Amino acid sequence: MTILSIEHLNKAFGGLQATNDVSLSLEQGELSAIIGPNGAGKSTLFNLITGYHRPDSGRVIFNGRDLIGLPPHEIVRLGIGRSFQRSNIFPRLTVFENVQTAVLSHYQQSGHLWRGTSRFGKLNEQVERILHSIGLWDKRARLGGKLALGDQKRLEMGLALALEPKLLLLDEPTAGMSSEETASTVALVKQISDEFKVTLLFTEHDMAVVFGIAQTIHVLYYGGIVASGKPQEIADNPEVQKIYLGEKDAKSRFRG
Amino acid sequence: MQTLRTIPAWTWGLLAAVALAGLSFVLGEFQLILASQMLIAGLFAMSLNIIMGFGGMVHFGHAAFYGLGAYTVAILAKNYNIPLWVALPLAPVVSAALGAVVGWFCVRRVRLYFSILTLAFGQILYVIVLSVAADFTGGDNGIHGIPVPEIISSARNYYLFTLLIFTLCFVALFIITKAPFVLTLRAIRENAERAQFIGVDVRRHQLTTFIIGSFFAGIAGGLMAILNRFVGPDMLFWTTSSEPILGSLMGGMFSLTGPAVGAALLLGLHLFISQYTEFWPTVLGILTIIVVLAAPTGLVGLTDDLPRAARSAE
Repeated sequence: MTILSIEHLNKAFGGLQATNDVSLSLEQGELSAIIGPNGAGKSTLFNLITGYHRPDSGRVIFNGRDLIGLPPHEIVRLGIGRSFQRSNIFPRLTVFENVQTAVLSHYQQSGHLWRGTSRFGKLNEQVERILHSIGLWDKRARLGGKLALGDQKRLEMGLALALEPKLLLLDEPTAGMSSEETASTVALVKQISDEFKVTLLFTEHDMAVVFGIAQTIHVLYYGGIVASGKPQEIADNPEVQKIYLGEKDAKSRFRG
Repeated sequence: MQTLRTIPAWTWGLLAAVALAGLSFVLGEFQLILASQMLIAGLFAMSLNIIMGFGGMVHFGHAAFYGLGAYTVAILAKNYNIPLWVALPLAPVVSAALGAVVGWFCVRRVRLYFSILTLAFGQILYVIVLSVAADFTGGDNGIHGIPVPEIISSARNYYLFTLLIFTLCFVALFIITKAPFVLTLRAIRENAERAQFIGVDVRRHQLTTFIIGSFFAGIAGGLMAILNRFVGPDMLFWTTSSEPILGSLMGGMFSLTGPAVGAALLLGLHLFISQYTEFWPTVLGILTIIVVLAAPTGLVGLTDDLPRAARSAE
């Protein structure tokens, strides 16, 4: 079953065509990736899906509903969570409070004026479960802004998971990480996909990461989709090799 | 310190309230009036700080809602002979209603633009009270001789009455700061964009905050009108808005008690220093510089906002 379908999406910033007639669709439960060099329009595409930017033309259909024109917080409530490329958390809230804020929002309790946050027992158990899944339970009392970069990214994913999304968009989950951090983040992404039964779409520039876990890969170049398919098909696609890598030994690099 | 920290907050609150009530039997009339002023200034500062400290929205027009509360009491009690017991509860209602209108516009912008909008709206309300609606408000002269019921007409009784209202407001604000509303508000202050992406309607949340702040400012204004038996347009003027801002800065913006302590201290200090010099604004300026440079989290510091575990971990 198709959960998200993007049809002929266009977005220009001034003279730059950041998104150029992009069409793609995601199947429920799939773990797919968008690859492309820096500036290919990966983040712009995410911003269009999540309502942060409004496209010039085209449609984004999520579970049968057109998302164009909806504000970000409503799109979130429909079931699309996202994490950001730069770690994007609440720095002067504790790790626990970060996730708690998201869980409270998901259960529409953000505006509650008189019940203490410690007295939302069921929701706080949910916070605890998420913190265990992302491996931050032991650091729950630390301030979000004081965490190492890798942990901040984990926390980001925790914020997204707290919303129990049907579709989770991860923008470069391993950006700026050391190789150990990258390995543990990749494991986490895979674990989230299995454990939470969520459809996952992530962007990445690190080939090894993508070919290790993605079931479907979409290649973005200068704002347009060049190829979509299984990792093997993408690796064997001569156009992708030429455009994306432009080198003779492209094929070996792909297998990373 | 560790043992003191294990005593629950409400115990401290109760002790403080009893001690403050006890003061009424010790202090003379002049000091009781000053103490009432301090409580009102404290309430005014706390009402601002919900918006400024917890919400991160620097509000330069808060005095307008304080003044509106005061004028509501004065106009109803003096011009229409409505009993204070009816007029006073209406003060926060009027302030909150106008806060909703003004806030609706202001939360459409962030940071400096928000602040400038609040300043502009505050000054518009000031001009309305000063001249446009002068037939109602007495214009520059204000309204004198607000009738006060016998039971709260003595300095001691009025101090106790003010303390009662202050305590009720403090408890209400304390509860709100422990609830999801303020947790979410702090999250918005930290990162409004991310708050949107966890499904928070940021503008609506900020508007509600603005209304709550205006509500409590209205109570403070109403109490001040009764204390002075007089209201004047200066209560809405933007310099009046600076008083709770400076009070919050001194006391600590990231806590509930900080602004109240800071505002009360400034008031006391103002009176004390004015006995020796007429250069109070200079002293205030120097004090502000010292606090901002040396203790940006204020005298009370990072008490309520950051959980203890996080503070000790730093």
